Amino acid sequence: MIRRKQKFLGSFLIVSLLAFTQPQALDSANLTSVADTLSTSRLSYYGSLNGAHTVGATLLTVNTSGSPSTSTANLFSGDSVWVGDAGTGSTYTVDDILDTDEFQITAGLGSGDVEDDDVIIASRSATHTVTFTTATAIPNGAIRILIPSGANANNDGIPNHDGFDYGVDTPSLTAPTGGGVTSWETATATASAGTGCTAGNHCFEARYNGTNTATTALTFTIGGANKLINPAPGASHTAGTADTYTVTVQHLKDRLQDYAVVDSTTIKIAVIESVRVTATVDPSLTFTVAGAASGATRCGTTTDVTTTATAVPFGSVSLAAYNDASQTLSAVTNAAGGYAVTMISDDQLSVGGDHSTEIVNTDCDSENCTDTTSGEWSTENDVSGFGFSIQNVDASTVPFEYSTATGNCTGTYCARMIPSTATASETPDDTDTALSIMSKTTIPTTTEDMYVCYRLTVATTQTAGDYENNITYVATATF
Amino acid sequence: MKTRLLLSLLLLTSLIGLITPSAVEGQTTSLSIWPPILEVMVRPGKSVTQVYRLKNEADDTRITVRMVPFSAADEFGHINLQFGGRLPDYFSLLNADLPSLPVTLNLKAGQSQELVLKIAIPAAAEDADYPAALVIESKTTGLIGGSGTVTQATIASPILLTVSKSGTPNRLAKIEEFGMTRSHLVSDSFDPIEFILRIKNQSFTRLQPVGQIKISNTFGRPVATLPLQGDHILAGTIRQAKLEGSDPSNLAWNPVFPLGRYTAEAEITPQDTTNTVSENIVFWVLPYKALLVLSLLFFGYRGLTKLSRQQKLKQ
Repeated sequence: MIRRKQKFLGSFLIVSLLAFTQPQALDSANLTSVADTLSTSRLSYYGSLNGAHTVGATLLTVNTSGSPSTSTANLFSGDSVWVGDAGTGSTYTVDDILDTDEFQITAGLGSGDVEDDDVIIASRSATHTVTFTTATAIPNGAIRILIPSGANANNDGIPNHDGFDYGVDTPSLTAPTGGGVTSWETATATASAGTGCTAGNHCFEARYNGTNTATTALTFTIGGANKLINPAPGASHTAGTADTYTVTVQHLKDRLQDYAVVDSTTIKIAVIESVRVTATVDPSLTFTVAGAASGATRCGTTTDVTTTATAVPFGSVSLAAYNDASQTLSAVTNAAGGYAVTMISDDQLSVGGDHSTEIVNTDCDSENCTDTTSGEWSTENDVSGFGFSIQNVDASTVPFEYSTATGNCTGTYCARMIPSTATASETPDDTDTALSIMSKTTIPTTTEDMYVCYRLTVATTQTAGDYENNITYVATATF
Repeated sequence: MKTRLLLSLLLLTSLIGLITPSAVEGQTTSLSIWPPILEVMVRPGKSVTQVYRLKNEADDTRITVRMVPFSAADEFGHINLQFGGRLPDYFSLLNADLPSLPVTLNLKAGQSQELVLKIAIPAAAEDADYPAALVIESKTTGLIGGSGTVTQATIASPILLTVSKSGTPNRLAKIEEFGMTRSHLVSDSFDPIEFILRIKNQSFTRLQPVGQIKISNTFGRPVATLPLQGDHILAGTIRQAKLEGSDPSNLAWNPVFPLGRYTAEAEITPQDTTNTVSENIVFWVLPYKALLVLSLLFFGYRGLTKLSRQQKLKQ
């Protein structure tokens, strides 16, 4: 009796041990290395107008509560935004973000898009690149990706606050390739609650023929020409904190087994506002007038006089000869419209600045230059006259240059009168406006420079005295 | 005794040297201003404050700060300061340590000065533009003997001030001129096609036009859109439009070998309005210079061939 009992227990022990050492194969496992990489993880924008706006308004104020987006966070210059309601709506371009609840658009609001609480939508669509490694060899199976959808209206092309919108057009799909199977069939997409796709997720499926290699790395791309639309901020969203959604990757059995799930893995994906990086560069305008030592080569001549920033002291001049001097003008700005520097004098040179006994402004060699017309002035030095020329260093626009042979100039020393505010003192033109002597209509890349060359000739018959006048240079930004 | 005399002379010379230093004149005047331009729209009865910063980037100087009205100097956004012109009493300085405008102050080399400008509009002010500039004039010194010129460096920051009761004044633009820069309407296929577009502001306040020139080919298909820069146009003035970012100002289309009949439509909408205006022109583009050269070559060749034949016949 005892022997029989011992035999039975021994047999039981052996069977148990065998069962432990040779377990049955399991039917399911986890896919590994699963990832869903979004081409952009930026949240969509879904806000609304705060109060009625006027037609043509470009400054929009958004509601700070009652919509998924409650500020201008996640809006950026250049974004396309749709503004309107169920009846009408138009697309506008964001010009600038002014503060947390105001932004500007480039064109005025249309007549149907100005009501209180009209929605403001900026959709952000993303391609989902889902990568994973299978765990099981399954004949004639399929891969299925489940991406969370919103509960309502999740395929109308408008962002949802609780999931990805399917879009109006079916998302473009690229089925996996390789993996040891005979062939992959065209991947299919089904919106949430569509045939074979339970509500709560959009379904994307790629079936294959043959048997896959048990552990093979695959990539399933959802998106391309048509993409899923990223969610708007969730109900309890905090700016700067990501909203997370669960994506499921499944490896299914074949059709005869109703595509039953064999392996399944879930992962989390996150969507968040983009960070608006701002830095303010103060706009400025800088203007410099600098003197020059005598002996410098300017406008093709050697200067005779040392000048300062505030004076061109010819001193005791040489009669019947050219007396040359120069100053350097420099300007730079980062104002969008660029800058302009103008020149104007109070009068011709006169004794003690009395505006009476004068050295007239030059009319050049052939009596053909004014303050607006250049003329050659390189031979006649025995007639009293005062004028100027320009040697451009790197200014974008100057009215003329000493060396340019055009019109009345041969290019040796092309000169002009200095425009003057005085009236009836300067033949032939005595009602001058300030002359723009250097300018640029966009932001210069560097400080722009030019030399102003002054030339004075005094006839031997000129009344003795100290002659002077005032020249004002004005630098302004262009509007 | 001799030593004492020598020391006394040395002391006297040193003292004279100290109390009569030689005049030193600034070699450079360099002024900077922030911001270089200011756009403001204010409702009557309201005021705004803007902080300006001046910096003397060169030698010690003395400056005078004043407000001066300006007008448009041309059709390209340059200003014409009207020294001596009158401005309404809307502008004042809030700096506690400075008197009212105009104000004169010293700026040492490298020194900065903040100016707090208040623009206060009376409740009864009418909707209008008040273009004015904050002007900084450097001090000049008169010449000491001899002939010469005194030069003054001035820097001005334009203020485009608009007073509007509604905040959205009705802005109307008119296309004053739209055409080709060359008088004829046939362009050469190898030349850039240059337009001229002059826009007039017909409203009481400045505006910024938003728009473009759309070009369609013979078949009515759009072939190019030239976006226009939204430059300010003062009330009642004209401004020549230019392409976004172009310098110097131009409005040129540079297609690759255009051919045939084209239509260009200039469409302008003052910003913050829906008052769109447009105008069309039709122009032709032909490679007429190349055709002319080819014709000359052809007829020249025929002439030479004919001449050659005649000479052979004579022989």
